[in-house]
Amino acid sequence: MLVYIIRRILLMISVVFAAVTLTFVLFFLAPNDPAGAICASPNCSPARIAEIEKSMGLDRPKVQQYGEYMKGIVAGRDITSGGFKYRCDAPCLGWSWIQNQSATDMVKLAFPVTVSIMLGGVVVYSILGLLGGVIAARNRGNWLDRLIVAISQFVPSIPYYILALLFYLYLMVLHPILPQSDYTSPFDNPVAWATGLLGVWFIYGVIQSTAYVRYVRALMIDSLSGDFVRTARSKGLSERKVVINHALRATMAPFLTLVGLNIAADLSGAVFTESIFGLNGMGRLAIQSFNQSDLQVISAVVVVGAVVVSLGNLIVDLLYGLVDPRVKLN
Amino acid sequence: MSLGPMQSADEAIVESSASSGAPATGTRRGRRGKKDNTSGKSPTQIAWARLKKDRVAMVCAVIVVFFVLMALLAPVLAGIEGQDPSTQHSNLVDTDGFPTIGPNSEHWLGVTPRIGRDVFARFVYGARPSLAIATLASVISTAIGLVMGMLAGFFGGWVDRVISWLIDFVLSLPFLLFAIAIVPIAQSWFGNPFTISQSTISTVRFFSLLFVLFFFFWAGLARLVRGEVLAMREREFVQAARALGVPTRRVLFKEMLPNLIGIIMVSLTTAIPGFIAAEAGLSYLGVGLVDPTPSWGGMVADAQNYFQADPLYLWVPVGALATLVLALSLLGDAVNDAFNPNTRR
Repeated sequence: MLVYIIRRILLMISVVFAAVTLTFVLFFLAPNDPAGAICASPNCSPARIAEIEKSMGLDRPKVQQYGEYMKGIVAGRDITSGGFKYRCDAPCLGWSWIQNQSATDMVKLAFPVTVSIMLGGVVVYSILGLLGGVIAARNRGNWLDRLIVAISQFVPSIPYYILALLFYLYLMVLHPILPQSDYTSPFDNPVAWATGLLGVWFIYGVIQSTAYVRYVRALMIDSLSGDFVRTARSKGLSERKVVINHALRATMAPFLTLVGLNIAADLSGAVFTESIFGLNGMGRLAIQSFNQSDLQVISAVVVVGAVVVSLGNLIVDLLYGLVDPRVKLN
Repeated sequence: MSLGPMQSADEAIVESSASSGAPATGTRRGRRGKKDNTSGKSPTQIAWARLKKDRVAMVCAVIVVFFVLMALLAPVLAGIEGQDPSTQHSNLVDTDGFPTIGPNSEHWLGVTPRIGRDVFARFVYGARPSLAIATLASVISTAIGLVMGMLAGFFGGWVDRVISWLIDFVLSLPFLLFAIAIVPIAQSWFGNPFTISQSTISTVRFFSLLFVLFFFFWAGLARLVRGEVLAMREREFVQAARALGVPTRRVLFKEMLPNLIGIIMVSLTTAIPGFIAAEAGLSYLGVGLVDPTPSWGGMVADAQNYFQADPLYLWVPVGALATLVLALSLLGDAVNDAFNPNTRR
């Protein structure tokens, strides 16, 4: 068990390290560097670009720059630009030449927004997914089951952003049934936080839940025909208790695994949700940086995203052994 | 997947090429006993027979063929209408950017807001990059995934370790963020962002989309194939071939590959709708295809600001995207079921 955990953590570290290196290679060895973004006009002379590059230390050997980049992540570093010196604290993921700000700070502002969207969304789709799956499994074969299965087959097959966009345009803009999306920090005003995100949670949760219904249904059908359920029934337990305490409980481990993996993937950037609803999370930060050619910020977002996904995978793998006693980690 | 006894490679490959084109003869035998129905047939033949009986799959196939024809015949269709996707009809747009005409005999679906291009022409041309990128990307990623998975599974040892690590690595990269990141980098390799021409950007975007899609999707298939090959390596027919001194290449391609046809078909058919959705999504975000290339994702992004005044402009690409992706993924599910001996419809 311990050996497995250590091996798994080493694997994660190697993957994260490779992701950081790949990001550096892609972003910092690209022929076009930040000087072009600062000197933003078509007739910026090559001499001026070279001057800016020198002032930012971009003319030095790439290996040395890589060393500085890695050092910045671990210990922070100083950034010089145009004669000014800025302190980029650890973990320094880069410096936005356009915003004149540490990329880490920009990510720090965006991350809570993405986390907030996820939290509420996960609650909504977990509840709806479990509810739909259980109802379908209990009514296996009749019209209600067939209806739920049909919905859960059709809806996830349509691209998510199309449905989210239509919901947004028709339920928030044209007929403002749901409150307009807006982000307030939950620590400043929890009520405004919840009302501002309510519509997003609802739309995101409802669409996502359909992907889980089929899965929960299959798991429930499997566990409802299990020996332990027959035992519970023959023991004379009420049907409610059998379904909730026995059958449903057995489906929780695989269900939580799936949810956990999706949380990790979505935390790395719910790009579509954030773009459609105009919330400044990680994904929107990436898009905005893309539009401004702010490569350093995009690279920071990619690194953070890779860390979140690898960490999520690791946690899910380890938890799986704890939640389901049948799984032996080795 | 247990695919029964070993197949002659030629037979299976011929059959798979037949299944994409003309229907194979002799597979339709109506409802007889299960044993009668499957004896002496390759898994591909059995799957094809099951697929033909699946009504949903056939309806979806017709829809897909319709869109493919529309993409192929885009110049003809636009020609019949008498318009092209790039001409700007600024006389049909008022000073606020709203089109002054609705659908009529000259512009079948009206014109776009602001610059007044013909919606129908852009719509039919917009099917082309979607389908081209999705088909190319799924063929390339399936080929890479197949080769990597077979190498890892067959050779084991350090080859397996390196490839498995690569798979883990690719799967832990955030796809959408990376897709957003790759585009400006690829663009900067091809020229200064301030002087690069719009059509160069368009071409660069096409190829970076292609790259991003296959870069991220070979890994999942490689993992599947690796597991399958690992299991197959110990099977009698492979052992027999190796004992007879058959060269490795022949073992891989003549003995093992035919048994992977099911996985390959499923991978191809499930990847394509995903790729179409991803391409349109990235174009919607402004990271994918850009003007002058017409794309459905770009149309949706453009239309969302005018949806109250001009709902048709929004609903045409939205409806087409939803229908095509839905049909393709239901078809993919059906192919999956047809190749999976555990499901009985």
